[in-house]
Amino acid sequence: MKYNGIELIRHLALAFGPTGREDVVRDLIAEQIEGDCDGYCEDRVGNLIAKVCGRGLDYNPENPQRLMLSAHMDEVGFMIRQITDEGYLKFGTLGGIDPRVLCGRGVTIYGKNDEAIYGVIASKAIHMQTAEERTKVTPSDKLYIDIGALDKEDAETKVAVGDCATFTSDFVTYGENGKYIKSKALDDRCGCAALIETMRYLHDGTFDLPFDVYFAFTRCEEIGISGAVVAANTVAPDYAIIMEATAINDLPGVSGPARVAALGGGGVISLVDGGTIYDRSFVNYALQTGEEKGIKCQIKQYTSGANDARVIQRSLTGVRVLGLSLPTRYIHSASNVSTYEDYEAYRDLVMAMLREWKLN
Amino acid sequence: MNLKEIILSLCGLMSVSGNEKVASKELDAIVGSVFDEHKVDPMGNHLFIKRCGRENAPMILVDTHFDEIGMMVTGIKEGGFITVTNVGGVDTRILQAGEVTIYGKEPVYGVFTSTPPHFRKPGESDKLSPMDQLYIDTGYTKEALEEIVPLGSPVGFKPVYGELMNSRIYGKAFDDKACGACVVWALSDIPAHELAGDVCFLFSAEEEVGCRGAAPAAFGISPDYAMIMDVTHAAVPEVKDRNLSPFDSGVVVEIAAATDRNLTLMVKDLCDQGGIPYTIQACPGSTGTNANVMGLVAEGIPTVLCSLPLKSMHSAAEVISLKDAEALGNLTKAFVTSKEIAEVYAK
Amino acid sequence: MLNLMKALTAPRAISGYEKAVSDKILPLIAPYTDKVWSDAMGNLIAYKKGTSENAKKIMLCAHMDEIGFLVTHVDDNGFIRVAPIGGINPVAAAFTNVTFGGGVKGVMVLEAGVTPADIKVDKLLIDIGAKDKKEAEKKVKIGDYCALEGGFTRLLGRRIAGRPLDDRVGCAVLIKIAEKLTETPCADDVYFVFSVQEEVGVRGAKTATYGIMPDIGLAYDVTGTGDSVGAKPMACSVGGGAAIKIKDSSVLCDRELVDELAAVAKENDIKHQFEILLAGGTDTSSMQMTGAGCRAAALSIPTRYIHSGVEMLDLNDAEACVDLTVAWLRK
Repeated sequence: MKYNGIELIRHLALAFGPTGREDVVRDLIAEQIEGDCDGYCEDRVGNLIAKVCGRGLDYNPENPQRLMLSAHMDEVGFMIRQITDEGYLKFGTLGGIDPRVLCGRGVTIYGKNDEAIYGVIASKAIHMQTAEERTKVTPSDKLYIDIGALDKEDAETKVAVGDCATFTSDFVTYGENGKYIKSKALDDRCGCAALIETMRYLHDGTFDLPFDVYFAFTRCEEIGISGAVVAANTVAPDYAIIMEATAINDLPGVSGPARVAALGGGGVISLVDGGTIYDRSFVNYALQTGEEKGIKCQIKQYTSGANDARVIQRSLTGVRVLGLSLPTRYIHSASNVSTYEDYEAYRDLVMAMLREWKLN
Repeated sequence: MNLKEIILSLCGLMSVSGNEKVASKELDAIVGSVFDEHKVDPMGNHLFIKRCGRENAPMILVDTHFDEIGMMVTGIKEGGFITVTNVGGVDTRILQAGEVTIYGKEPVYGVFTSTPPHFRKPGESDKLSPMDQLYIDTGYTKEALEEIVPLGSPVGFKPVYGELMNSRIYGKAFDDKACGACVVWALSDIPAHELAGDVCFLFSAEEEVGCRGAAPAAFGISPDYAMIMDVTHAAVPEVKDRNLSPFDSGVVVEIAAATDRNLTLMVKDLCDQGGIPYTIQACPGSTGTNANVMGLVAEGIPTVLCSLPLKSMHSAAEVISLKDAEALGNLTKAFVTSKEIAEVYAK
Repeated sequence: MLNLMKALTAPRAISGYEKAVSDKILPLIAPYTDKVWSDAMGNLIAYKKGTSENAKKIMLCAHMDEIGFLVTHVDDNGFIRVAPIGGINPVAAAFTNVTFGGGVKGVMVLEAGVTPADIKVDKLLIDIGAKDKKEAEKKVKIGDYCALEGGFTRLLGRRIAGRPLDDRVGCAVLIKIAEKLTETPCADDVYFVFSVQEEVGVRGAKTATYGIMPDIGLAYDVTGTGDSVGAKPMACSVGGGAAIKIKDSSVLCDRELVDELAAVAKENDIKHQFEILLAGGTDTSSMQMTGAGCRAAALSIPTRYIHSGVEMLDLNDAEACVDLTVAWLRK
């Protein structure tokens, strides 16, 4: 079954896909893009790469230029490190998760035979904590997952060391006119959704395309291992647009650049972040396209954090990169929050840039 | 040579990170006869290749790192004292009064200085001196030292080996040359035609200073798939909240996000089928090994990480169990002869 | 060398925005080389063919970029907030003149009431003399870049102090090497690489190296010294000659290459010393580890007060780097 728009985001976001276990998401994406591209394959490290061929007068079939759109499939999650004698599961995090968002959350583990096992993240109750403990964040190594097992032996009938988990989450639309979206993994399934919809638009389109467009759905972004480097090495693109989610902090009491960007402002364009100085003419082209077509976009007023652009830019002999992100609150928790209108602006900006390509 | 002899002879070589080319000849003398080719690349990676004799065979890479942690000479002081900086993560608790060898134009023996307790200032009793506040006492004059010890000369712990109960041995640089020894031992025992492909044993450079050598080496070899072997912390009594594998539990098969999950499960099956003892460790995030970089080379290399339990890592007296080393050797044999894996992972 | 340094320290070119200095270098290197081009990241690469049939590929690399700031916010009163690009020393940046990419001048100041111990980058702001936000935004937009004013002062002997000597001095050394090679050509192919984005993590040299795939790589950059007051012990000093790098925190140099360079220096009576830098990385590591790797080392110009407005070095040391390289290439 093929989905569009918010339904596509819903299905992608709710799919199980912590770093290292992207197979479920990959299968879902493969199903969604079947017939909507000129071919796709899984590379040697598990990235999914699809292609839409160029066409028209400016396209050189002998030695085509290549543009790569990339989004990562993985989400932050957990890996089971140890099963205690009492049947609790000790875990490590896959990606950076603030311990403040862990305690008391539900998690879903892909256990034996990929059966979904549910648990909650627990520590000793507040009643039993000392006065000092109550004033401190409980670090994640003092927490454990309770799946209700009687003891170790009982737990081992369902899960094993090395199994992975994600936050248990539903997909909620809320707020005025239901314009806010809350789910796990909007980071970066919204990027995946935007790639899929852009692919359908290009594959279906009647307009010229001066280059082959590759769509890289990548692995292991959240732990910094960045499968994207392999995709970039394989595709060897001239240009790349990294479709991400960016953490924003547009909250009461926060002012100026510390807000990073705002919900409702459209796609967030990065100038510089902790990993990359983006190609300035590419940035200007994006801003100009937004202005000409009346598509909202905003500049990221903050320069830390990093994403796959870091490795894609410096692959092979270098790639001109643009970072375009969906503004997202409470990233890396069970409750990413964004809006559908920002998603549309973010997706439409890329479509508009590709449709009438003007970057030299 | 038996496995223990190979371990001791490899670990006795000086291979402080950045100096992997120095002992090329000695290394070749120990290892060379097992392989058909031996190359040293610009970074100092040693590539030993054993051919299976078939055309267009897949290239199977087995990586262990050749380098060891150590120190480097930064200055020479009056009275024949040498200042050093660390190369890789040296455990500074073991330095004071420790014995070292300075590899200048000729080897020089030295002892790290230590201030006896009765000369310490009050309040400093539980303080650990950082490496740049310690000296190595050589017993030479400054002038003589300047002749034989150029700046930048490597410094290593004095090689000392011993045997404990239950087939356990201690010494320096088991990290990671003990794993390398397992590979050599395994490959010396397998007829070429039984190999599932050509095998490249990568004895890699500069792992201890940030996994620098493995990726360029893998780029040059372009293998079909790879097994990385390194040491891991064995269970010790004071660490209870990490699921560390005890001695004599065999090899540790690491499930990591950085490696190929399916290849890892196939290797686990090899252990089951071959009666090779093993435990599973979960390794979210960084593995702290060459597995972090190997998989992402060029168009990607499917990798699996297997470890050898070891105590007192990065000290001059690391401890391993020969039973675990033998298991790792047997797993290497199973890996390089596995037709099933070659079928799935050949390019 | 002095005039070359004057020309090269004039343009502002922070990491990611190196075009101003790249444009300056292009006409200076082109007459001495066979071909010049830029890659996707903006590295400027000049190629000089060697005379030998089986010439090796030798890459010489110095970075063009300098540390600086990017505008992130203009407040209602027209004060400008910035984010650091590269390793900014906020103490050195406070109360200095700055120039924006477009030429607008300003002064970098601290928020009132900040004590010396509390000087951090986020307490810095720029005053361009604007009455309010509206006027400021006519001159400076979010995303514009700026850096401390460039240029230098001549001190005693052949010593100079100013900025950005890191690493325009390396660029000057490369240009001088190219000039000297026109007199006595070299057997090997030489690639002169003026790299980008070194200050933010040795990035540009990676893609340049991948495009060239050299056999040997040499980097030219400034290094810290042990001869300023309060410095950590380090056997390297300003005026001590070309510093042959053994180690920095990103690289262990190829030992044979280090020995080879030292031997050439000795033979030709070129003043030299060794460098073991405990903190700080250079393009050397990018060259060493890119692709299948190459033999890499570096010649450093000892410099005091690095990343301040008064970086100080001795031009004799830079010339020793030129002489040593030319002698080594001729071998």
